[in-house]
Amino acid sequence: MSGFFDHLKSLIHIDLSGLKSAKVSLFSGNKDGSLVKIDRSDHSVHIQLNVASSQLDDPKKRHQLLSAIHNAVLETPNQPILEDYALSVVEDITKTEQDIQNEAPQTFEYFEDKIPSADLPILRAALYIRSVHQRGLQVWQMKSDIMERYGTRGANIANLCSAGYFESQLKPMYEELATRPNFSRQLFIDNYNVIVDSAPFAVFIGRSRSVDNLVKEVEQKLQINKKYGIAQMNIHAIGAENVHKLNLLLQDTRIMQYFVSEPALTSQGAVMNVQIFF
Amino acid sequence: MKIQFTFDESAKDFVLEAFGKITDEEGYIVEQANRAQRVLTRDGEQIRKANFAGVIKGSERYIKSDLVSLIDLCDDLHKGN
Repeated sequence: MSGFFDHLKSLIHIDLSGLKSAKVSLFSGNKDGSLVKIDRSDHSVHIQLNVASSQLDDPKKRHQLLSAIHNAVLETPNQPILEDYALSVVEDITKTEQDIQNEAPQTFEYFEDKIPSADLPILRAALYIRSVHQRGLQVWQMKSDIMERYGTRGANIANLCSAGYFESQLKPMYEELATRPNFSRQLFIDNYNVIVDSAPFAVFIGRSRSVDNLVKEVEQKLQINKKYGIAQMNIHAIGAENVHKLNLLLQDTRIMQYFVSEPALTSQGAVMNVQIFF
Repeated sequence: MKIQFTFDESAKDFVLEAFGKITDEEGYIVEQANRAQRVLTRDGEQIRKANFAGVIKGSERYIKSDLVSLIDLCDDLHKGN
């Protein structure tokens, strides 16, 4: 038996026998609507509580429900009360991380003891974002969460991860550095920091960036790369609006003047990756 | 019996009331009994009603709705299972 339902006997009339799980959903509906709607199957029950119902105008009943929720959440471990969207994200993270573990278990585990520990939550979130994006869902709000919490470095890690750079660039870089006699973890971190702080060989087209702003970034990175003998750079765009911007960028004479051969384009749906040579 | 509690956007005020909280004029969640005291997340961040994702036992832990906070929550839920 559950204490929650015991405390609400006068409000929620339900036979708990045979039940294995219950979902209690709070919403604020019509004041004239009924307080409780019960949808029961064999072993589970979904109870919808209309907290705007006039039945809760009775202070005693209102207090009864408020304290039952308070006690059920704070007296039971791992029984949170969550907003619907948050619950759906938590459930999706759980499932997705399991899928990532099954399909590509190496990436997070590989870097777990190699990159700075402060970057691990960002990488984990970035791998989740990549998986959400691969399912064709919007990720800009999640990327914005990362940016808000971790700044440009966080955004760079998320972008580099989305574009597969952890596997295609950073892992080989570690393997190469690890063969050197003077290798230390710090040597890798120093090189890694250059990449995540400034993403020198990649430009990511963002929603908030203007074409002029992107031209400046491409020119700046291109000059730096040339200085170090690097003759190519990648530009990534996700989403129709960003792909359009990338096309404008490639036709901009300020950028075209540097090309020594035609850019290599790969395009799949609303995702476009371009390699430019200079 | 395990009970899953959820709420939608329209019931946020009621949920906050259950934990003795309201929002101040700037939209931050505060103690009903001391409106100068803003509620903090485990990371010490103040939390706006717009970013309020829920409450879990652990003294009385308030959860923000951003991705990293929800990943943290997943870890805590799994540790407890």
